[in-house]
Amino acid sequence: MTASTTVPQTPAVPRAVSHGQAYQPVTEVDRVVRTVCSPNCMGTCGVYAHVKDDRIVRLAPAPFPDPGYERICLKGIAMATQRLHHPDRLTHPLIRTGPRGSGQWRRASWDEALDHIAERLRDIAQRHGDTANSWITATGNYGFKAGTSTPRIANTLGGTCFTSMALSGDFAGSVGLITTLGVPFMGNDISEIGGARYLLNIGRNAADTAHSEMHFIFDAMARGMKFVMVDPRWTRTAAKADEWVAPHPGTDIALALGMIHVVVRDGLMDEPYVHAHTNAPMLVDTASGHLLRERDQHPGGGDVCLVWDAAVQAPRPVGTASQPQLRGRWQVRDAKGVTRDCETGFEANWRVWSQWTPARAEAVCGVPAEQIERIAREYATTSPAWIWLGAGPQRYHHGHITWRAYATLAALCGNIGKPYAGLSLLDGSQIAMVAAPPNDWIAPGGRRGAVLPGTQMLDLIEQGRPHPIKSLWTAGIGLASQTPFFKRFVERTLPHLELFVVTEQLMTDAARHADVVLPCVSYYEDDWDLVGGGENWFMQLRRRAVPPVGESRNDMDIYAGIAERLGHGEHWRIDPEQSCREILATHPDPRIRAVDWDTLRRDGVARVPVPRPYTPFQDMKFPTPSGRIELYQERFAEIGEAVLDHKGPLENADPRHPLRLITYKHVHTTHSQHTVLPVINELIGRPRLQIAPADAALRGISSGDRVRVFNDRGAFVLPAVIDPRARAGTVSLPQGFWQRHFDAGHPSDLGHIPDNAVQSRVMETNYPIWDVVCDVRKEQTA
Amino acid sequence: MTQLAFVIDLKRCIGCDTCVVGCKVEHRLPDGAFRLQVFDAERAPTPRRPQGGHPVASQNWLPTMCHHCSDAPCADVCPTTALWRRDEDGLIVLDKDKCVGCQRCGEACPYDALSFDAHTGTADKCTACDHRRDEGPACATVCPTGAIHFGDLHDTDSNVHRLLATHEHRRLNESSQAQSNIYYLAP
Repeated sequence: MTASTTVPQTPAVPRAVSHGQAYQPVTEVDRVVRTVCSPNCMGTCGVYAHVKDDRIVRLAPAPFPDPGYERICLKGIAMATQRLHHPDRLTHPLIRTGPRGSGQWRRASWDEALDHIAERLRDIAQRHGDTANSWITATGNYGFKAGTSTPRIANTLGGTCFTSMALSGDFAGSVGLITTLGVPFMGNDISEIGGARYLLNIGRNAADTAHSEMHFIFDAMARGMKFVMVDPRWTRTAAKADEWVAPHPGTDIALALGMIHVVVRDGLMDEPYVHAHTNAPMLVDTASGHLLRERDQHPGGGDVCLVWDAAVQAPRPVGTASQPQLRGRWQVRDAKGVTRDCETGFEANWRVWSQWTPARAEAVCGVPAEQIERIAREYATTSPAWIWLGAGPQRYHHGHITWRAYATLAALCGNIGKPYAGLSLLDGSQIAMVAAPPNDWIAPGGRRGAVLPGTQMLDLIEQGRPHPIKSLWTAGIGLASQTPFFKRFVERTLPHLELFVVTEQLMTDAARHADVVLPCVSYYEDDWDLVGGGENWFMQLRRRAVPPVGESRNDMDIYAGIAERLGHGEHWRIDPEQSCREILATHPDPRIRAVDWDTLRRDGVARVPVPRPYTPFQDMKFPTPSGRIELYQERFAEIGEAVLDHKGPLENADPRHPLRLITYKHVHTTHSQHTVLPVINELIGRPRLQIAPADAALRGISSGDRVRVFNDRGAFVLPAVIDPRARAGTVSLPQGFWQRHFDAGHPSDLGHIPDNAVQSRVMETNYPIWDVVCDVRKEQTA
Repeated sequence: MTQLAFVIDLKRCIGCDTCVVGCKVEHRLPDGAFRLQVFDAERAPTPRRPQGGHPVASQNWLPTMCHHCSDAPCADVCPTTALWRRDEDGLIVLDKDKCVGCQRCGEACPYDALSFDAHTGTADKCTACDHRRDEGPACATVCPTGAIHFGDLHDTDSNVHRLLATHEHRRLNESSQAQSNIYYLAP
C-alpha cells in the first residue's frame, strides 16, 4: 500500500491490447446490455454491449423508436473494446510522492485518498475561504449526473466552478445567436432533414464529426435535396456534397454578406416576414446608434420602439403603424424639440450590406462572385432551405459575427421558425437537460458557489482575483490536450495551487502533474444515469455493462465521499435509480418532465415529446429585447457592431508568420479520448502536419520530414505530409493528440485568448482556436 | 442456387473505417492484421486516389475485403485445397488447418485480399462472418451510413438483388475474370 510506484510514460503507439484468442470470433456471450455511448461527439448512440467474461467483445446498434438512430461508429467500438481495459487504465487512487510531474506515486486506498483531499480542501477553505477550492469539468461524459456532479460539488461546498464552453472554443457562435435570436442554441432534428430541399452547411464537417447523422443526409439527397458544403478545408463532407464552397479560413462573414447583398438586391428578401418578425423596421437615431423610443418622442412616453408610418408621415410605436417602412431616412423632432436624423435598422444595415457586392466578397473570401450569386439565389428561392452551422467558423476572434451573419441571412429569407428550414447547430434533449438543471439537484440545500470564466482560469489563479484559488480539481476534461496553455499551466499556474486533483480513466498528460489522481469509471462501468440526445429528442438510460475496472468509481460516488468528510453528506446520499426518476420529474423544462419513466426504464430509450417537425421559434417569439429577431443590435452600437459587418481574423499572415494553423476535428477521435487506442493508432498513426505543395517547396519540406510549427507563443514538432488538397497558406493537423504524439511541444501552446468586447459583455470571450498564424521550418535531423 | 455477395454503395461510404474496426473486433484480429480495408488518399495501395487538388477535388472511399470470387484464382492455385468455393452459398472458404503458408493465393488474388500471419505464415481473409449468418457480416451491421449490404444475388427479394437492379454498379478489376462478388454502386 505504501510502496512507491512509478507510472512509466507510455510510448506514442501503445502496447497491444489483448483481444482474447486471435482470429476466433466470440460466438457465445454472457450477456448483452443496452446502454449509451456518450462522449462529446453528440451522437449519443444506443448500444448493445456484448459481454464475455466481464469484457465487452462486441458492440452493436441498439433498437430505437426511430430506426434511423440505430447506428454506431468506429470510435464507439474502439472505446468499448480497447479503452476500458487499456494497459494505461488507472485502477486505484494515486498520491504523488515525488515532485509534481515526476511520475512518482504511491497507491492509496479510497479512504486514504479522500481523507487526504478533504483535509486539504478544509484547510484551504479555512485560510482563504470556501471559494478558494475550485473545479472544472467539460464534456468527457454525457451522463447527466456525471456531467453535473462537478458544479454540484462546487456548489455544495461553496467553491468555485470554472466554465468550460468558451475554453473549448464553442461559445462565440452562441453569443451571435444570443444577440440575434435570444438563445445560445437552436436546431432542427437532423432525422427530419428529408423535408428540406436545400442544405447550406457552413463548416459542419458532419462526415468526420457527426458520421452517424450522414445517412439522414444521404437519404435526403436521394430525395432531391441539394447539399452545399462551405469549408475552407477539403473534408469527407465536402467530398460527399453536391458542391464544395471553399472560402479562405475565417472569412465566412464576407461570404454571408455577399449572399445577403444578392438576396436584398435581387428582391428575394421575404419583406412581410422581415417587417413582422425582425427589428429591422425600427427607427435608429443615426447619431447615437440607439433605437428611438416613445419617450424620445414625447415626455412620459414608454420604452416601445418606433417605426416610420408612411400613412401619416411620422413615427408611430411599433405595431400601431398602418404603413410601416423598412427602408428610408427621415428627420424626427424629439421631445426636447431637437431634430434628429433617423433611419430604419434595415437602412442602417443596408448602408453596409450594399457595399458587399459579390465581387467585394470574392476579394475577401476567395469564393468566385458567380458562385456566391448562384448559391445566394438557390438558397433564397429553394424551399425549405436548411442552414447547418458548424463550430469551426466561430473559432475566430470575431466568431460570434459568423453565426449572426447566417442567422441574418436565414431571417431575411423568412426561414427562421419555418419547418425544415431555419438554422441548425446544436439542440436536443441533452442541452435541454443540462442547460437548466433542477435547482435542488445542481445547488443542493440552495447553496451556490462562485462561477468564473474558464478562459481566464490561469490568469485568475496566478493573480488571486477576484479571490484566491488554491486548489483545482478536474473531471471529464482533457486539460492538457483540449484547452490552451497547458505548458504555462504547469510552469506558472500550478505553483500557485496547493492541491491539484485529476479524476481520470487514463494517466493523461494533465494527470501526470496532479497531486492526487482518482480513477474514474467509463460509461460502460457506470449504472443509472440519464443521457439526453446530443442532437436528437430521445432520452436514454445508462446501465452497467461490465464491473468497474480496478477500484474505479463514478464521479457521483467520488464527490459523495468528499461531501461526507466535509459535513455535507446529506446531499449526496443518493439512490442511483430513484435519482434518475426524480431528475426527470422535477426538471424545469416541461419537455424533459414529459419523458415517460416506465418506458425509459423498460426499453432504455424513450422519446422526449416535442412537436414534429421540430421547429425552433415556430411561435415566432424571440427572447430578445425587442421580442423579434435583432438584425439591428443597439446594445453594441458603441463597439461598432450594431449593424452586421465583416470582421476578419485577428491574426493574419505576416512575414514572420505567413501560415494559418488549423487543428481540425476528424473521424478517428472525439477530442482526446480515442487517440491512444491501439486500433485508432493503427489506422491513423501519429498526427502529421498537412501542408500545401507550394508551401512545402518554399521551405524544402518533403513528406515525412520532421517540421517545427511555431509562433511567438509556442512551438511543436511533428512529421509533415504534402497534401495537394491543402490550401496554400494554411497548414493543418488533426486534433485530440496528446503530448506524447509530438516530438516536442503541443499545438495548444500556440493559441491565445485576446478579449472580445461583445463576447465578454454577453458572458465570456471565446478561445479562438483557429485565429492563429505560424511558420513552419524543417527540423535539422541529428 | 445461392450466391452470397456484397453490394457497397460508394455514394454513402464516407471512409470512416467503422467497418474496419468492427471487423477487427469481431474476429479479434491481432495488431497489424486486417481483413477489411478502406482505401483512400492517405494509404497505399489506392485503387482510386482522390482526384485534383485545391480548390477542385473529388474523393471516394473504397471498402474492400475478400471478393468471394465465383471463379476464384486463390482456390485454383492452392496446393492443399485449404481454399475452396462452397457450393451452397458461393463463398470462398479458408481452412487454416490445411494452409501451409505458401502464399500462392496471395500472389494469385487480383484484389490483394489475403494476408498472412506474421508468426505462422498462415493465410487469413474475410469469412463474410460465417459464424453469424443470421445477423449478417459485422461490417454491414456497424456501418453508420448503411453503405454495406450483403445477401443472395439470385434471390429476387434480396436487398442486394434489388440494389443491383436499380443502380449503376461495377466490380473492380473485371479483366481478371475472377468474377468478384463485391459490387460497388457508382459514387
